[in-house]
Amino acid sequence: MSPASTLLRGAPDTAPVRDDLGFLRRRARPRAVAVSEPPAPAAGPDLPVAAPSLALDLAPPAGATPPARPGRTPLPPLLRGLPGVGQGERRLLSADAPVVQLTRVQTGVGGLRGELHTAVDASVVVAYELADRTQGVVRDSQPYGPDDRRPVVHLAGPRFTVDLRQARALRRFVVVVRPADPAGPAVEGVLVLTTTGGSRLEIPLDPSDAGRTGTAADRTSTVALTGHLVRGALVLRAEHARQVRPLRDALAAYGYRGLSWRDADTVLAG
Amino acid sequence: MRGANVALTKEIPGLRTLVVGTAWDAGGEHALDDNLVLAAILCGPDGRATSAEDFVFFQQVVSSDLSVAAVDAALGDDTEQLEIDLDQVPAGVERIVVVLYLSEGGPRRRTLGQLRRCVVRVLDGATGAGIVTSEDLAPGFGPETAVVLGEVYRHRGGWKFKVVGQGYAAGIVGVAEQYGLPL
Repeated sequence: MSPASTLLRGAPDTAPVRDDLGFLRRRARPRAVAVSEPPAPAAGPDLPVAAPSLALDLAPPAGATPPARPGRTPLPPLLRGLPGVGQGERRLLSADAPVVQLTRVQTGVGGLRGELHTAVDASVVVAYELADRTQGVVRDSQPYGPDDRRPVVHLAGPRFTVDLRQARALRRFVVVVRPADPAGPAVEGVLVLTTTGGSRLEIPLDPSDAGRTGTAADRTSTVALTGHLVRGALVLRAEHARQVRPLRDALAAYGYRGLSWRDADTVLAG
Repeated sequence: MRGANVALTKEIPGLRTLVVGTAWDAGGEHALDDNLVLAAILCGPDGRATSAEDFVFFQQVVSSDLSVAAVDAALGDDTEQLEIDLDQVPAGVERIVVVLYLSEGGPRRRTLGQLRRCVVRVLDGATGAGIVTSEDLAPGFGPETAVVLGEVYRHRGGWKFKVVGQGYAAGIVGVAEQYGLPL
């Protein structure tokens, strides 16, 4: 069957049912509640062959012969095909090579930090979707998402941080850069991302307004970056996309439709 | 005691599954409690990890060989636990380093010195019987944000456990550097 079947103690017919193996890569200890006092180690060296304790029956049934355990072949890596980024490495995420996949260690340790470097007056907006599918937006007026007690994403001026301790609570996010001047051109600059291990990813922001189709009243947003959790690893993609339309529509184009809007550019504070 | 070691498989000859757990008291500081992470680094004979897959923690809950797992719900009084299937540890893994660190991705900075209590203990995974419990390591902590709690290591065909209690002011980055773990 699956590699998990080799985790079963005892022969398949007689082993206690382990209902904690449904998800192959997780282990739980479902009997934890049964513990009052650990059994006294009075039996000393005989412990392993003693009758299993009622409180903690993870041992093979008495008399059962444990199966032979041939050397186990390591599982193949879950993730393949996308470029990674080495510790301390500096990488430009160009339109030709826009994607990087972090390792699960890079995805879970510390924080992913981003900073907008630009000479013009601009703001950063980060929309996110949590594992429970709730969506939210952090911006200058609401810098903590989903809340300030334990934010998954927080914003401070041109800088934002994704708290990777909470990577399991996060599904995806998108970073949008907007000029302060509603009639101004797209922001020129660089969005720089750094990992806890010092890897540095640079996303150049193109100021050209070629193909502008919106009305003069529509601010030019630059969708700079998307991040998706894929099987426990964070995939980062430089989008190099301009959206000449209200923020609501720019985010909806990336699937963020679960937000409430006071007007087309202003999310209702949650 | 720091530095104390226990001959695990000598004391319990049939020991197959080892649980290494830690219990801490953050004194109600949720920013401390929420961001503490228990992790294991699988090291080769040179004392270093060989790849990022050799790090077991909440985001990579089982080593690629399935021998070491971060347990979802800890047993007994422990706050976090790791489970080690001793027979399944690959021959190339000489020691398993157990680390507690503060993940510093949130807006509030904390240190291990704020912990009121921190112990590491080892249990027989088959019976739940405690084998060894460390002294309270918290009084030795200061500005550090990571600590190597202990090591499970091979010794003369068996396994031993040693309480280490070594803190790292550079946090998990310092630990990763020490043990060759790519971050």
